[in-house]
Amino acid sequence: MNASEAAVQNGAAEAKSAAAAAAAGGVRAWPAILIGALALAIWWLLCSANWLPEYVFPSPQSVARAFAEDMRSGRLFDDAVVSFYRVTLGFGLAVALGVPAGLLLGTRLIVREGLLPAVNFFRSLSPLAWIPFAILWFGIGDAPAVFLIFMASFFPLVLALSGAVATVPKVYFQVGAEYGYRGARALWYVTLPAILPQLITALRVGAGLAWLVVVAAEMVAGREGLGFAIWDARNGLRIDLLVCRMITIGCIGITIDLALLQLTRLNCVRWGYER
Amino acid sequence: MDDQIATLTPDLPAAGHLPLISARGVCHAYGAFPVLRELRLEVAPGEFLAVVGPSGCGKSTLLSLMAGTRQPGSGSLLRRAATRMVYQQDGLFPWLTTAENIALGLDPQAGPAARARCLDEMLELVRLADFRHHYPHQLSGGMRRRVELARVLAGPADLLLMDEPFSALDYQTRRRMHRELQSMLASYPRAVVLVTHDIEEAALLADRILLLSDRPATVRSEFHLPAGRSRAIGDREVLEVVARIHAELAL
Repeated sequence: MNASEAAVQNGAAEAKSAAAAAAAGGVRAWPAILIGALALAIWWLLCSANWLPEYVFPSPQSVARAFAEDMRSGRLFDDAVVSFYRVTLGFGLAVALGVPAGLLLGTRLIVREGLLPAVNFFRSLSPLAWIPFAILWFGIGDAPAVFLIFMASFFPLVLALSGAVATVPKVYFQVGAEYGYRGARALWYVTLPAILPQLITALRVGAGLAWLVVVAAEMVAGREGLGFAIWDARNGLRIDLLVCRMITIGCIGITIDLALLQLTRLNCVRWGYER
Repeated sequence: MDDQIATLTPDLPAAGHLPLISARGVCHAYGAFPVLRELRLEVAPGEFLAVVGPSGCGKSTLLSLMAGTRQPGSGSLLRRAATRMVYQQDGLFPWLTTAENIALGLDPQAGPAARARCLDEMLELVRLADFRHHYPHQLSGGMRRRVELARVLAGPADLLLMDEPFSALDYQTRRRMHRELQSMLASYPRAVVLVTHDIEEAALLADRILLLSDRPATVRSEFHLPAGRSRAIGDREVLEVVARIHAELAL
């Protein structure tokens, strides 16, 4: 390689790496921190000037006090653990069944033709529509929440993965077959790595949906968990506790997404984010 | 026995000076659309054969028949060599590094030490030793093509099938790749069948050029070039062959 080609390549590689790092969310956290601090300051100002009375929306100080109270009693932690457990179970089940189902739909035309309308049908249904059945079939507790989370995340995951498989360039399969990757080996060594970037994106979307649904499910079909805690605070007219729990849900959601975002930094998937 | 389809085990070593590919009366159709008609050709060991012809005339189909990924509709196609294909599209796995992509092509029968040695040789050959841990998206188009060439040269295949491998590259890179390919083949001699619609490219690289007719394609003309692969675009024999093909195509 001549010197100019090497220099261009090194420069290009560095630029792409920087873009990937930015895309992976690993750098420049200060804009988000600044916006958060600004929002907090505006909230505090509105409450201090009494433009936002305490009975309409609690002040940051009230929410901080509620947070301390909830932490001292241990309830916030217990509820968060329960919700997290339900999300992990429901979403884990959706991933365990959704990934093979998505691969099957993506690789077998007859299966895709037969099942895609059904997948689209169920994906279009709001998971909240299943609440009556969830209570009827599973009663109150973990099971209905897990079921609703599964219903919310399974179908979008299947659809996203089948679409990802269908768009894998044909040449990868041709090359794979030439070097002995056929059948299950092709699925493991060609199809799966080829769709990994889309799989990670689908997981992030699915985890967001699961966290969204667990709150609704616990409001109507639970006796514990953050969703129930919000409902309980509302019944007790404790809007400071209500906001404290809402903030907790949002923070856990961000943490889960950041954790999944770390997967995009794996060398074997970075190519999918650098085009 | 003209209609007999006979394909030998591709892993058989080339038997001396016997042709690596012998096609006789090969016809192929996609449903009701005939693509190849009564095609007859041979590929000798070490030969560089270029196949040119109009777009969609069946050049790529011919390559897939040679590779054994399709069977001819009728006629016989004998294959006496293991083949490796370089595709028109980027065929590198983007989730593997340069070294891992090349390692796919290494002889699976060889021991770990021999494989490691061959991999190092290939990386040196394509001058990408410093890029062995880079991923394809971190390489230029020309470098990616070199990795693909290293991958097909790394294995025991006697015949390389190339389906317009340089068509996506810009002119300068394409010319550089021509020289690279000539140099690689000098170190690691292989027979090559190159499908291209670039007549100059064919005249620069090939020992023999087959000009195919419109679909259903058959061999329309054959052009021979003097042996030796270090030709330049302005060489008399290159210009002559290009002019003759142009005349044949009434361009």
